[in-house]
Amino acid sequence: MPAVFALAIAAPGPAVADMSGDGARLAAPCAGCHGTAGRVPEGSVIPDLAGREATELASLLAAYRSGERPSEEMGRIARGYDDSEIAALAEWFAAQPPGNEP
Amino acid sequence: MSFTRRSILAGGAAALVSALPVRAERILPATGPRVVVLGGGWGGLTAAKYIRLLDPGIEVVLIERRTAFHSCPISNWVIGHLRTVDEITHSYAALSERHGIRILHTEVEAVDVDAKAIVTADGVVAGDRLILSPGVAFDYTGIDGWNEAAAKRFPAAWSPGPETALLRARLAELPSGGRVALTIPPSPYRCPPGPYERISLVAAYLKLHKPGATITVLDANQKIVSKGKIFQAAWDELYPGIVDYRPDSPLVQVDASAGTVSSDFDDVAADVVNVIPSQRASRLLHDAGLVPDGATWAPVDPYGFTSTLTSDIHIVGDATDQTTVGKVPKSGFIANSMGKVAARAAVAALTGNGAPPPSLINTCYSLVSPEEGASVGAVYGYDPETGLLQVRPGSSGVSSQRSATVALQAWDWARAIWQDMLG
Repeated sequence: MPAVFALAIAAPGPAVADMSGDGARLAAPCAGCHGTAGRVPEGSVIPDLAGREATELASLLAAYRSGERPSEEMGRIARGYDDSEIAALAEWFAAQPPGNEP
Repeated sequence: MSFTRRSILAGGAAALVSALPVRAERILPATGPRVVVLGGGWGGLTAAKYIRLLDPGIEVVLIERRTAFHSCPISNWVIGHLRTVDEITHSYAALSERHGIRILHTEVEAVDVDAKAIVTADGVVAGDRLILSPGVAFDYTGIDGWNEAAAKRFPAAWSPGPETALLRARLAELPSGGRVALTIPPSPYRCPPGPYERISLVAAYLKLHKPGATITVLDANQKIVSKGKIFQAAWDELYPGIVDYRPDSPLVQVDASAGTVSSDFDDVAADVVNVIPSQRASRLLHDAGLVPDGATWAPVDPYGFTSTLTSDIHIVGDATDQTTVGKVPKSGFIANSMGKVAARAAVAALTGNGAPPPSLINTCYSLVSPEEGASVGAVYGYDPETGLLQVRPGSSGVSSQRSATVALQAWDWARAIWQDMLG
């Protein structure tokens, strides 16, 4: 479902689902490390986010934020968002078609 | 007035541009709503691509002199012989092929604020809105003895390109026991940790390939501007006797024939000298009246990165004034984030919608050696009371120590953000 929606929106460029909402606005700067729409270049040590389960992404961000999950960068980044923002981020990345960017 | 300013600030470059025939006629007539983006660097590329992702019904024309993208981040790695020039040079082709952006490679003469147009050597390109990302100009005023010979002898290599390759080659030619000198301008300048990463990678190269060679640093700032503890520890522990760091030492004088750079206290003679000059907003913004008289940077409202001095014109990247934006660094990552905010604001304005509040991230990776690095970063939101970007509480931080993990992430960060701008 999300993939069909994405093609309708973003053709002829690469698929990015729903650029209009709060999730897209908050997620845009994440692409600086995780690639456009959460698709990293092939072979990256930085993880893909596109198409992963929203519940998994939200609990990862919460664990980074609390420090339960140790990290170099993601702890401080996750502390920049409240619960509703984390939910919006997780849902937006979950809706993105997965795959590697070239 | 603009002639005076140009001749002072841009010297040879301005003369070259002025000599080009400037055609006043309009070219590339618009077929619908259009944004013209000036500058194919980090802010401009991101803005161009994200406008097209947000609304493919808006036409985007990108104007950039160079026919290939050269990355400023990672250029220190090239100088330190860890990566090649080819590895930081990338094609602009996908922006037109995948995203339908019209790219015009030409010299830019001026920004016509009233007409919302860019005056180029090929003609005038107008739009409904402009997004300007022209970067910084170098300012050598106040350095006694600065002349053409000094510019050749003491390259900046602070914009990626021929000087990056030149500095790399000069290091390779340095004799064993040779001397390198590097000068750092007062903050703010492009890429706060950049000079210190460069010092580290030059020191690592000297340690490995040039026994007995040293690097002396004259820093105009009171202390290391970014990641101070990490860099100092790396220099003490990894490069003892190689890095001679002297804070609070602004460059006041050079002698090109003797190869010396001087602060008020020291004269440093060296075989290879890198002068990183003071910086200010591009002369295009000064000439267009988008920087107030006597000021250095372009004031903007960070809600949509619109100029505070006119309407319908956005300014992003290193040229923006931090006193009007908030305390964000002049980094590539921030320019990328600014480009997205400006894109969203421009699309909202063209479609008659209100723009949502900005949300930005910065992460700066630096190597302290070929194997280890450190990062600094923060998340920024908009504070309606001050009208500035502010760090989200708890989100600002720096690595506690250098690590191999960050060095690996740094390269993959670069690959990801290059893709986000160019892919």
